[in-house]
Amino acid sequence: MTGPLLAVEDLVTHYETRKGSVKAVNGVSLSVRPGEAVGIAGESGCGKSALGLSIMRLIPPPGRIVTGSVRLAGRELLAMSEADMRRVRGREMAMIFQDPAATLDPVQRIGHQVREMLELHTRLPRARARDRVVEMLEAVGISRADERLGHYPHEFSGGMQQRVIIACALILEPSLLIADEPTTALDVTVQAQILELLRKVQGGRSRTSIILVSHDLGVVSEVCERVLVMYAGKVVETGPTEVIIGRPRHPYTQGLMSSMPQFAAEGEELRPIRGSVPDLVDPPPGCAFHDRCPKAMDICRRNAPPVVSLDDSHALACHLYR
Amino acid sequence: MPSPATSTADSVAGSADTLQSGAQREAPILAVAGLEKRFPVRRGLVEALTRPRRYVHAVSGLDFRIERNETFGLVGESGSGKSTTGKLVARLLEPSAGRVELDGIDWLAVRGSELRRRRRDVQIVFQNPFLSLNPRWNVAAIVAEPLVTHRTLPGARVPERVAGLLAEVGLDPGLANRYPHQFSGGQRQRIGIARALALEPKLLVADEPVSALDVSVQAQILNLLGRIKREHRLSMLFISHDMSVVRHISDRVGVMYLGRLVEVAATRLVFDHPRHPYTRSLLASVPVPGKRRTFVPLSGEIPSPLAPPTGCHFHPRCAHAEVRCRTEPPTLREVAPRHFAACHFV
Repeated sequence: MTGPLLAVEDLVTHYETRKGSVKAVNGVSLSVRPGEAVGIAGESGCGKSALGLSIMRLIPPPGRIVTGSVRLAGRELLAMSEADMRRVRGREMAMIFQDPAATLDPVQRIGHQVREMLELHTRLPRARARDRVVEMLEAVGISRADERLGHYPHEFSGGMQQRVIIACALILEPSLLIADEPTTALDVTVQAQILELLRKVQGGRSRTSIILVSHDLGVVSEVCERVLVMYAGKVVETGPTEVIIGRPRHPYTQGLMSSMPQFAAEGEELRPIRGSVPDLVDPPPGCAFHDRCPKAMDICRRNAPPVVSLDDSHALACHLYR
Repeated sequence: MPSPATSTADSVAGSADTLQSGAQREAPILAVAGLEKRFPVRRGLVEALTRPRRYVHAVSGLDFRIERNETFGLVGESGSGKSTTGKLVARLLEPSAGRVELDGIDWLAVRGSELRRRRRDVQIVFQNPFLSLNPRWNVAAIVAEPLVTHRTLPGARVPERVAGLLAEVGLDPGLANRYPHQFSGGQRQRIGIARALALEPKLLVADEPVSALDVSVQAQILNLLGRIKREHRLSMLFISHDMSVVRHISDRVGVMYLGRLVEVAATRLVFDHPRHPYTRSLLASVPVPGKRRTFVPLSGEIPSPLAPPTGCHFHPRCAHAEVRCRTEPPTLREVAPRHFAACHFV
């Protein structure tokens, strides 16, 4: 296949609340090539999870996709019937979440939960399905899987539960995996194991594309070649991960880096971004970051900045670079 | 170095001195020796009748001290006992064994009204600023509460003191009549810090104080804690699972695994020259922005604290483990000047 596997254009997702529409995703475009791993980074409330859910068309009410286009392998998902969409979810794309205990059904055996994916989407005979489940569980690092099919989720640690969920997500060999903070609930030594697993998934024969949503740029750079930094529902900067981290150009991305203790010299104070994330019901006019930006100019308060390409791969939305 | 079993009888100063090599002569603000906390495991009726009571050892055999004006960081993964340690030091939990000296007094012997009076000496800042503030009280009442309870000030002077505390933590005193839900997570943590500072504690226990915050807000709170510590010459026990945060804020660091301290040394020594195999793997597991790791530093997961491995708790995951590690728990000993590790092969 040529061209992107996933092409999102000008996606807008709102949550309707009593206080007004929360503009969670406010005009986001992105594309993912086959076999590519793309990170979506940003602080809480920037819209990164809403973006992932919108791509899956899993935005729960009162949220709704207002406008935009989401094309997977050339087909428009936003125009599909719910029945067709259910076939796409699971078979062509899958999503995993932060809290594995909340994702798994506590009263169903592990083997059943993974096999259910096959039963819903394929007509594999039961014995073959069982073999496939064992094979998949072993592939995600659960040893002696055939003995553990009858176990319940509570008998597994958090890391093992997340492996089971990854097995559920991958057993139908989807071309796209969306992972929303998949290691945030895990200890750091286990996180390293799960990130390695995601890397294998992406680098393996199946060439699964990955969208990794994370607040942690360290996690993103373990897996992703490319990263989008979001702020207040918009992509503010995008480029190769090492460029965005090594030489960030957008004042927000720069602020994120200088806030991180990893980048501070010993004995030096951190240089945080002042204030906190704005209310997305009524985001600041112009550039939504202007009231926290140390370099804000008059124009930033009036006009939303256009997207400027610095080179083929590095783009940002900031008036400083016009 | 006394073993956990024998250290209770020894004086606290004796064992804690070993941890410092006697470099500082002034008494530390906190000296902990042989500290242990076990929780009984709940049993069903049949089990209660047929089996002996079982215990989870949340922490055992802890020896460490915190010097005056020092920030001591405790790091570890979940179940390592770091939060339990903080609660024991703050006397929010009663230890099962061990000794704690706070500013020269036998802290665990203090009881009743004397304990209530002295609680002001150790204040704690909690992880979740959404749970640790009473939602029905306004900010003025929250910050004033310790002042009123401990009657440290005439009532008429409390509002002025509250305003001063709020200003000190970077909050507009004009917002004092607002309620917690009207503040962001970072602002709520500032309120929690103001409340903890109100009584001018000798020791501040900060238990994961920035873990619920976004990185830009986390940086603001870390800077605030650093500034307060300098200006008030505070001593601080800083507990976190986040290696980068602990490295940034601590003077010395203790690394915990399954209820035991495995390494204690100056921050730079722990991070640049880790000696214990667990510390090494832990540090190698931390993702570094802009870098890609090519290996998994540590396989397996933390065993259940209900049934910890025998000998060295870390031996089933340790690449260097030998027979001895399975049977004999290593004690924390000085492996280099003022650098302590609990490993048979360091």
